[in-house]
Amino acid sequence: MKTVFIIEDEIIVAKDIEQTLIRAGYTVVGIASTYNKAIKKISSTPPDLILCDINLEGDKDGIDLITEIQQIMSVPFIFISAYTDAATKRRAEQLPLSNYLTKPYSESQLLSSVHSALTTVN
Amino acid sequence: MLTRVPNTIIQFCIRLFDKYRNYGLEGLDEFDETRIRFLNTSIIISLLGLWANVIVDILTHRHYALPLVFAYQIPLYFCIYLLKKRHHGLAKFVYLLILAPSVLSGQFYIAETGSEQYAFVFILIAFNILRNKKSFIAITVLYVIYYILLVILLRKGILVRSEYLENTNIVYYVNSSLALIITSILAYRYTLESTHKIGEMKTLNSTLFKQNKLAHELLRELNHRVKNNLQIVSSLFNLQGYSTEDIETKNALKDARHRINAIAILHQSLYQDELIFSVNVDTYLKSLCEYLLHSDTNPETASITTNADDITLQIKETIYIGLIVNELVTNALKYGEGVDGTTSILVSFKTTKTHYSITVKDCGQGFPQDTLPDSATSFGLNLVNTIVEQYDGSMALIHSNTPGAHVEAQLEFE
Repeated sequence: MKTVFIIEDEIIVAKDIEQTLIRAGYTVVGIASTYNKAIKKISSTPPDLILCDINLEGDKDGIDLITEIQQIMSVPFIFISAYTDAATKRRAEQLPLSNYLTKPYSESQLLSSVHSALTTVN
Repeated sequence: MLTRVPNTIIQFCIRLFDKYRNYGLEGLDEFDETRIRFLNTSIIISLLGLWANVIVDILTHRHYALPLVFAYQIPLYFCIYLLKKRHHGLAKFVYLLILAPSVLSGQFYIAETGSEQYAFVFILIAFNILRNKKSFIAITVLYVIYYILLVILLRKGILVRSEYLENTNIVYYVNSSLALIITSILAYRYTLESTHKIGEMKTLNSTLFKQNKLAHELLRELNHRVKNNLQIVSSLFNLQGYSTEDIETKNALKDARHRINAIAILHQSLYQDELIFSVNVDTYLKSLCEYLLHSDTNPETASITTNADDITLQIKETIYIGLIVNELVTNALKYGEGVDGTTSILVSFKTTKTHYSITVKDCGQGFPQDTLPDSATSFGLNLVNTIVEQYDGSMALIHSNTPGAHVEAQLEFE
């Protein structure tokens, strides 16, 4: 069973994603809302996939976080964001294994993106 | 008492001077105001100089020079008339046209060469009145041509120096030196004033630009926040939907979620585009239909084509257009499957002189022949009826020979 880690600063949105993934047969190994919490949790339990919101609480955003994680482990990820400016988008696209999902997304779009990201790696 | 009288006179003169130097400024922007104020000042100084000449000529019994002095005044009064009639450009042209020949001819009556001091005065005046690089260069070139022409005419003996001026060189040297000093001071002062004003305007522009940018960013951030909050509400409905096994409740929560997301997508458009207070309907409907297509259906068997006029509308009316399209497309996705198993939906948005027209067509079974729009029992169609009613519009279920449901909603402009 594939494991997914969710990084989202809105806990209700994170819980919604978690429920959707669980019902689709995935295991959610953790949820984090900040850069530091995410690094700590992911280092202890590496997932098969990371869903990461670009806008996070604090100085560092989702792209900084994924860049840091990619230096520790190679794991596919999907950036989830409502809006990013062109410069941020360019930064995101420069990362390897980068996927992008724009809010608001439907359940089927989320599951399709997750499936696609995991299939591409395998 | 003795000191009060001169002070009163000085105050009166200053008020009078201020009144006339601000003549004909109504409706001008700050840059033009500066130019015309300088033109007014130059006219006042010129007239004062000419009236001083009249007095000197009378006192020195040189009555024969008076017609020339009065003749010089006529174009100046004409300039004042032009300013009154708000022909500012023409007034500038006439003044500079008079100034150049009078300065130059005065110069050539006094000495054959050396008019640097007058050239300096003239250029300062032209610079302050025109404040335009091209006009300034043009007038300077004309001045030089005129100067050369006079030198040639003088050398060839066609023009000769006036005898009486030769005899009164001292008076004219004093006059011209005073004119040079006064005009130079004024020109210098106004140059400084203009430079200062330009600096102030630049600072003001920069402040306004920063404030505008900040307001823009705040509004963008606000729309972002609204959209995120709607996303939270949407997630709450989804989570509640997961917690119930009742299909009807699940569907109602899902429909409610779609309505909230229809508004969320609108707020997304507001902070993604340059437009802050309005939305491009075509772009918005495309995003909304894309979202709905992926929500409940298999995008491989369903398709939505949008055909909307490329116009921007205010947020309030676009929300209602979005809600209507959301309801009609959701219905079409539920019941509009054709006999071949695919769902093809056409969404169109058109504007007429008085109405917005929203049409949604599918290829399903369609409505029964006797269905009336206001007999709709579903919450979704009732919602559409309510919005249509608010905008004094109408909703029609169009029955035709072609298969599928065809719904048209019309909203009247407010």
